Amino acid sequence: MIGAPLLLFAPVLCVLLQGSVGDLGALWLSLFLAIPTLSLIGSLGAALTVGLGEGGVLLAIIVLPLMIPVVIFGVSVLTAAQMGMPFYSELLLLGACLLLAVTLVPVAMATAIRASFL
Amino acid sequence: VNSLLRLGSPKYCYPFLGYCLPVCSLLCVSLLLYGVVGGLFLAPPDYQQGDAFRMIYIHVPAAFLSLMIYSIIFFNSVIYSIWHIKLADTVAKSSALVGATYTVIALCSGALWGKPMWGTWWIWDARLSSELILLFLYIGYMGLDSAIRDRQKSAKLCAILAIVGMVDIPIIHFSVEWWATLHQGPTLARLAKPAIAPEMLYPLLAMIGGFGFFYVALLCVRVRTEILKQYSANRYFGKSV
Repeated sequence: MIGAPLLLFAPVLCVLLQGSVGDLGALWLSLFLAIPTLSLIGSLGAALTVGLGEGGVLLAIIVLPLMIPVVIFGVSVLTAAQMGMPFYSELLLLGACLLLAVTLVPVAMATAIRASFL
Repeated sequence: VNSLLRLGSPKYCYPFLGYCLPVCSLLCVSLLLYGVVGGLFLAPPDYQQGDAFRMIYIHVPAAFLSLMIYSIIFFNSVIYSIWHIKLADTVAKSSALVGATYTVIALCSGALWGKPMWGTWWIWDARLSSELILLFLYIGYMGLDSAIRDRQKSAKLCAILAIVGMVDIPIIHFSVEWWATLHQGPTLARLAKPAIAPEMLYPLLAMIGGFGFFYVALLCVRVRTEILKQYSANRYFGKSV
């Protein structure tokens, strides 16, 4: 749960990066939904490479393409919020990503770990 | 169905692929010939892009096949995960390099096309970025495969990765419709009248078919090599082939 402190720091970072206070809600909500998803995807990558010993670069290459869609939806929440447009649909998409990840990733992880230690 | 199931065994599959190879090569060469002549010489220049539109005859087939081959890898991974048919894993592994090459061709030809038409080689457009993600998917898949020594372990883990990575494919496919960006929407749509003149369309379809049969022919060669590598020590297999 390395992402949890990020939720606390988000307001500070938001102000430092010249975001307005109005964006804070959108930022916080999108982070709240995206961070668990990213953690789950990362742990899936770790489960796939756990039997390798050294898999640092490989882990990055495996995980990167899976994470990018989540990042795109998160960014689109912020862009919509900054332009003063409704961003609920993007938030819902992020939530859908989270639900998918929560339900399916543990199964995939269990299979991967089982296969790694045949 | 029975004869289809028998193809899962390398003993029947090996000679079958041997028959497939010349047929596919012949189809590939003839379709590519028609596509190249029809596309580069016979088709009229585009009213806006002039002769530069002919890049479509390389770009679209490569991009289409790059998505198609990933779906083939996905289906083979599902088949392997459920029924543990080794051949499915072999097909998936052999497809990955061809798919990655088509992705690179699509990206490069797109850049060459983008420079004169859009004024830029590269832009972080939805379609372009997601095609790049697809390349990373292929690279990760091949990297994971080559990093694991044990065959069975590699087959299982790569199958999981391919199945999980499938979530990106609809995003790539629909990116031009979901986000309004620089890359144009699809010109060819199934079940709909294509927004392209027939004398331009038929060579394009021929090129797509030619690229496809080229992939199948390559697949035949690669799978046969893999089968030979795996089973050459097997006495019964050696006799039957």
